Amino acid sequence: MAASEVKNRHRHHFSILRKHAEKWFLTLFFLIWCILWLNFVARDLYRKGLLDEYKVLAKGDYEEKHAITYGERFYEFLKFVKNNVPEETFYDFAGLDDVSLDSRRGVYYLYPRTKIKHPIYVLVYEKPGYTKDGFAHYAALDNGRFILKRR
Amino acid sequence: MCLLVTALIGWNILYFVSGRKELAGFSFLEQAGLSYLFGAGAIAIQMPVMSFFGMGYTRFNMLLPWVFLAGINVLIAVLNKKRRRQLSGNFGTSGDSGTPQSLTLEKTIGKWDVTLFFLIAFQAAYNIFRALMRPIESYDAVAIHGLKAKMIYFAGGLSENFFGNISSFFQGAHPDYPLLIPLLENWVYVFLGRFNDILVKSIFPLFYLSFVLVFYAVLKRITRSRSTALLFTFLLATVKQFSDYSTIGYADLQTGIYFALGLFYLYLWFREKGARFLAISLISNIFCLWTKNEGMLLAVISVFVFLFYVLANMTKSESRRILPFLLYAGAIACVILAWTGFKERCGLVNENFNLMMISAGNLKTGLGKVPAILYEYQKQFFGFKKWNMIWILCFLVFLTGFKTAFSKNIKFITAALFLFVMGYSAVYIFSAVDIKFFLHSTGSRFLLHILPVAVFWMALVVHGKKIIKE
Repeated sequence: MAASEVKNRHRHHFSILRKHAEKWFLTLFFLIWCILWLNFVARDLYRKGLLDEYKVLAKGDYEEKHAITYGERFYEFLKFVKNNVPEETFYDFAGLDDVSLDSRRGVYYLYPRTKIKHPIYVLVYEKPGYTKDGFAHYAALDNGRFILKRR
Repeated sequence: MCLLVTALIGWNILYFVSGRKELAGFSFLEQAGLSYLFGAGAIAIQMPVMSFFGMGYTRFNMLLPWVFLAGINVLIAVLNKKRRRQLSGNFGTSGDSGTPQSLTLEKTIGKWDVTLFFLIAFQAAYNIFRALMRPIESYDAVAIHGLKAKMIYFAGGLSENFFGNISSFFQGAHPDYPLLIPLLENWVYVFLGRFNDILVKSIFPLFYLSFVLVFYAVLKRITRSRSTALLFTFLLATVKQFSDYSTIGYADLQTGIYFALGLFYLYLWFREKGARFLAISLISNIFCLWTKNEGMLLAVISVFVFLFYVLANMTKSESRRILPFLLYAGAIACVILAWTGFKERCGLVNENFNLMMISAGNLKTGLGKVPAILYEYQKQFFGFKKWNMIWILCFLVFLTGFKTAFSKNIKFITAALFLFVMGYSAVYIFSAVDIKFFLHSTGSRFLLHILPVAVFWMALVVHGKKIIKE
């Protein structure tokens, strides 16, 4: 009788201890989770400099948001192309890797102009002095950013 | 305004599939979340149908069918009211068949609940802010979805040579990908009446927010505990990878969301029956199919889960379960066949993975990729930067709740997790792409497809263990 009573008491104590342990474990886990979560949010904002970027982006209009996101020099070039190359035409980039993010952004931004291997226009980005057989100088933004057109 | 109209369309669909039960038992949050998610999917399915009939994508054309549906819903509402009046006349009751969940739940809202609510709200608001700060700019967002949306918008619809043009001129734009995201983006442009690739991004954090609402509501419905539902919703909502992908214009979050909805409501059907749960699950799976190619595998997983359920309950009045299963599987098979048939006719092939790659030869060479695949899984498992401790927690829950994970209806969700790992591993093994590049570019994104289901499963196991103890 006494032995079973002691056993029951132990079992009861054990279940209370287990409940406490579970509670502490959960609280600890939750705290670590929150620390990691806030750390990664803060890391993006401060260490990667996104906070400063967001401050500028928040004040910017449609054009400025594009310029900051795409990079000001590249966006300036894309706008220059858009203003100087007709819509229903074919182009290719020189100075941009085909699978690079800039190239993809360029293809997207310049649509309905279409990028192909044998183009009418060659859009030269950051490649001063670039020439191509059968193409002549068409328009230039500066020394490294210009457009060639098929002769 | 556009997003509100999208949600209204979704609400009409939800009301229609609920039929006589009139959304009884669906909380406001659940309705709000499902409305947007369904509206978005429905709009994206409506547009190819309109193109098929040669209709242009104008605001009027696009809203017209939904006005009809709204009319039908008004009729359903009137008939239901009449039926209720008759019932109350006969039996002196209101005739409502569903009990609003809020009546059976705890009423007090503790500090813990308020804290979790504000943390989730903070994350959602931060996501909306981040999404709207930049135009569409990330890799797949511009190269695939954004570009296609722009093409569709400028052409005034899905032109006959749309897929051919992408194949011929736009390398890397994947003409074989389903079109839910591009068409939804196009819907925003049509509604706005102009191209604006900043405002269009609002659709992405709204997917996140809507799903978080549904996730919470479904968990609350199952666990009957606000705190448990909020805790697991918080865990899901604050996984960095999950929240980041609600801001950048990729389709992976949406794929995971629709797959999860499909399984959640299938699980609810297992528990409570009710044709509307099955309808919601089926519709979600169809939207999942229309979001990404992987959606096909995910929809098949849902069908297998349903099949397991039917087989496990074979001894209990089987005909009642087999018919819904056949309808469910048949509908998904029809959509898969229609889409794959269309792709075949247009010669659209996925270069990363297609069924032709499943062969004994590829299996033999593919087995050599297993160490790389396991290494990637391990990398993601301990990838705190993207996943916090979610996969570690998942593993711990599996270890401590092993019995519960294979008990009652929870075992079907466990089966879905195993099928996912097997299915996606098979894709990696048979794929013809350089495995290191493939794993590097897709590993963490593909895990988003299963994350909501994994967190849901954890909640079920933890809650199930609690019930067993009590």
